[in-house]
This record gives sequence, C-alpha cells and structure tokens, in this order.
Amino acid sequence: MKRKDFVIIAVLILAALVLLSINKTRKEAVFCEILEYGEIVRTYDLSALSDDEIIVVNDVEILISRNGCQVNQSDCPDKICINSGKISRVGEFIYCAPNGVLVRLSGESEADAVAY
Amino acid sequence: MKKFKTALIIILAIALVIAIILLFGGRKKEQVVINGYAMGSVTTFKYFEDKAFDLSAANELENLISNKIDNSEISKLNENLTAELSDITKEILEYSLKVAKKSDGAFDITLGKLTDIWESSALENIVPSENILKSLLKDTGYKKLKIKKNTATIEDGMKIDLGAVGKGAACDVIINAARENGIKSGIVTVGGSVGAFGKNPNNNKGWTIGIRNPDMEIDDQTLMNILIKDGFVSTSGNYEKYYEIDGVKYHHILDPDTGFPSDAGLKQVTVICDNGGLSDALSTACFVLGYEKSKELLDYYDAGGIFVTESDKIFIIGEGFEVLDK
Amino acid sequence: MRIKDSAKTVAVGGILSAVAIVLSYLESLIPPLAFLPVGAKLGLSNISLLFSAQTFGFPVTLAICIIKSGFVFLVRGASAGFISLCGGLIATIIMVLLSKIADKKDISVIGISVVAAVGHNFGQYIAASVLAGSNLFIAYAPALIIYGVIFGIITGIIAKVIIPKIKPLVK
Repeated sequence: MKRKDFVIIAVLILAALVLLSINKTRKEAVFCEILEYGEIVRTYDLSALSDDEIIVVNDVEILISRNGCQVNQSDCPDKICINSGKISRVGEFIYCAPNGVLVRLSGESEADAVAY
Repeated sequence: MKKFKTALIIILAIALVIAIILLFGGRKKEQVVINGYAMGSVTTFKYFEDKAFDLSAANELENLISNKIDNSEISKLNENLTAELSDITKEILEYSLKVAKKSDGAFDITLGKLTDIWESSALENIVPSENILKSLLKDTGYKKLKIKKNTATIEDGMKIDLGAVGKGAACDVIINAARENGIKSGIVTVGGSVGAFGKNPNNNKGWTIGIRNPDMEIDDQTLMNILIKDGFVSTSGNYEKYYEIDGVKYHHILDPDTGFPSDAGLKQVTVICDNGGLSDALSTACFVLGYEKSKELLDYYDAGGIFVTESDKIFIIGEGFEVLDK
Repeated sequence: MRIKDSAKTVAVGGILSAVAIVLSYLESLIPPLAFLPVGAKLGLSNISLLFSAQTFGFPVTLAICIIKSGFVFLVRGASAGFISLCGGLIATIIMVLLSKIADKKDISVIGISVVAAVGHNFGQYIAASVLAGSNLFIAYAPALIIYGVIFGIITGIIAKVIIPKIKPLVK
C-alpha cells in the first residue's frame, strides 16, 4: 500500500527517538510560573510550599501544591485547561488560550530530598 | 516484494511501539506526599502506593521524648530525676549513650541546662560567663544517666535534651510505621534529616539526596548530591541554629567539655548510616570531634561521612553511598 | 488538477468545508484521553483537506482551511481560531506540496497524511507558544511527532480508501 511512505515514517520515528533520548529528564519541577498574556505574574517555589495555594488569574482558578498544579475552574468555552489535569514535571504546562493564562513548570530538582 | 513490504511494516510498527513505551516510560509513578510538623520541624513523607498513611508516629514520639512537652517521659525524667520509659525511649537513650561512650563524650545528651543558659543569655545579648558554664557542666556527663530495665535515673541538676537525636529518630519511627502499613518504599524528611527505604520507582539506582551548602550566602544551595539505597542522612552544621550576641554568631552545638560552641574546625558534617537517630547523633558527635577524630567513630558504626571544614575543604569517608557529579 | 467548471469547484469546496467542520465537531465530542498531549487530535477533518489537495490544489484547500478555522473562531474564540489556523495552514501547505510531487517521489496519501499531521501538531504548538509567550514544546515534541505519525497513518488509510471512490463523482 505504501511506498516511500516507509522512509518518511521511519525518519519521523527516528527523530522522535532522538528527541526522547536528549530530553531524558522527566523530573519533578521546582518552579511554577504563571503567565498572563505572556507576562509572568507569579512564581512559586513548589519545594518551599507548606500549604496548597489557590490563585485566580483572569477568571482561571489554579491550584498550586507541593506535588503539582492544576486548573480547578475556568470560564473558557472548551475547558481544555481543566482537562489538562495535574502537571508536575519540567516542561509541562497548562494553557487556557481564551483567557491567556499559562501555567508552566521549570527548574528540576534532582534530589529526592535535601539534608541540611 | 510483498514480503519485503510486510517485513518493513512490522519493523516500523515495532519502532513505533518502542517510541510509545519510551514516551510513557518517562511517566513518573504516582506519588503521595504528606506534610506535617514534628520535632519542631517541617516533616514530609513521600511514597508511591495507594495506601492511607499519616505522620502520627512522629508526633507520638515527640510526646515521649521532647523536653519541651510537659508530660513527655524525658520531661518527667528531668523533673523527677527518675522515670519509666517506653521501649522506644529506652532504645533512643541507649544508643545515645553508646555514641557518647564511643565518641569519648563528644556527644552528650545531658547538656540541657547549658542549652537553656545559652538561650536565655542570648535573649539578653550576653555571652554566658565561663563560671556559669563551669558550674553547670559539673552536673552534666553521660555517665550519670543510668538505665535499668525500663527505668532511667539522672542526678540532680542534670537535664536531658534529645534535640540532637530527635529528628533522626522521628525518621526511624515514620519508616517503621510505613513498613507496618505495608508501604514498600518511600522517603521521609524531618527538618534536615532524611530517611529512605525500598526501591525508588523513579530511579533504579536509589535515592538522590541533596546536601545543603553550609554557605548560606551562595545562590547555589546544593553542596553535592549523593545516592543511597536504604539509609539515613543527617547533617550538623554551624549554620542551622545559632545565637547572635553582640554581632557575633554562636552556633548551637556545644562542646561538652567547655560548654561553649564546639570549635573543631568544621562548618558541616553529614553522616550516612542505616539508622536515623544514629545518623543524627553521629553527625553531632563528628562535628564536635573534628575530622581526624571522627574517622574511627564512623568506622565503628559502618557509617559514611562528608566533612566541610572552615576553610571549605571537603573530606569524604566511608561507603554505602555514592557522590554524584554535579 | 484543475476543474474547468468553477461553479462546480465552489460547490464542492463548500461541501468539503462543511464536511471538515462536521468531522472536527464530531472529534471534539470524544473526551480527551489523559495521556495525549493537549491538541493531539485524530485529525479526521484532514481527510477533507487531503481530498482537496489531491483534487483541486492550493487555492481551494486553503479556502477550506480558512473556513474551518473561521468556524473554530466563531465557536471557541479568537485564540483557538488562531491556533487552528496555524496548524491548518502548515498542514495545507504540506499536503499541497507533497501531493504535487507524490507520483514522482513514490509517496502515497498515507505518507502525506503523516507529514501533514505532524506539521499540524507543530503548527498548533508554535501558535500557542506565540500566544502564551513561552516555548511550549520542549517536553512535548517527541509526543507530537509520534501521535502525528499514528493518527496520520489512520486518517491516511481512511483517505486512501475514500478518495478514489469520491473523485469520480466530482469530476
């Protein structure tokens, strides 16, 4: 059925595998930044949180906790942000396009715990 | 030609499946984190099973051994000079006494009154005088704490203080309680003491423990990361708790001989071993002893140590852990 | 391939746009699966674009893409419309270009569908990154490729089966 299609698919899968091997860090994120239309409005250090926090940005209610962030409520039409679930690792994000609100995670903590 | 095509399709399908598996392989195992407060410190326990658990074991221990809690067994001991001990309190006192003996008295849990005098003097911005310290020191000494069966006795004027061992001991009880609850792996922190057990689902090689840089001014807060399998890590340093009197910092780890903050040339000691309370006691003992004299002590307990001197030199001894490249 | 009757082209183009919109709507009814990155869709509406790319070429396909994104704009808002447009444009360009060289280069509809699907995913993420003010695909790039390949194959197979049946009706 297919012809040079094989080559195309093989190249793409290879590219994906290469990208996967480069970006092996699926580590838990330390910092959570909240952006509103491209501007950072709040940064959280997740490892320093003693209690869960709730922040509302542009009618989007975000829950920030030690082991991740999620959107609880939003007045947007498609609720993609809410359906994104809980994010906890470096590079993950929740984006509510209609309200311009982005929750992104960065800064990996390599350690499982810190002794001090 | 058809066979070739079929073979090709199969190969690509397999490659696709592998890619998908890798994609999901990164998925971190669902973890449960419970936070609380025990031994005067933020306490956290992280584990990876769908089982209910809480940190009450640590609070129960605190109610037994804290000398800041009126009805604790230690408080009763300090008040009445004798007290009945539960098994866990007895166990903690016993290994504390053993560390005291093995460290030639460098580790001493009988310095409660001296800790108190430093605290009250600091509030008045005064350094305790040598005379006061000398007179208080007369009533200290680990040898004066006697334990027979489940009864402990001390001499008049003495005050037991398990602050140097409490956090590590709390790690022990939490992990024991977790095990009893059928939890197979997890990592607990009580203040700066860490305990880990079981297989880390996010890393086959073990648990990565970051050690805080004793230099608090620096941006990069990590001195180094170490890798352990099952074990406990405790740190003693001159930066954790100190009194500032007349602009000078006096840290809280007292030399049992002088009553003054110990001065063995170290900023920080980290001890890695297979028991929480022990790692806590040993880190204090080593801090007082200094690097050279600690070697034998750690060797006896099969414990590992990381020493940071005043001049920022780092010494690493012992096995049972791996230092990770930064 | 150009069709001499321009009225017919417009009519067919209209139908294809409607089909694209309906397919896209049907897809939105499927509840999002937890493990899929945001935006990785089956892309059934691409079948409509593929047919147009193979039969009519760039102008008609572009029109369908714009109409479909216009629909998204009306129903889900400006930002969603913009994201849909970017993804759709890239898919459109890929489909038209590859369709032109498909015979010479030994590529079938399936191959075109795969590349278009991956391109569509990346286009959407680029648009979202621009809107959000942040590089969003560092962590998601491998997934975008892989789901693009998988869904591209699926829609490509469907297209491969359907297109030859419909083409004679249109001519």
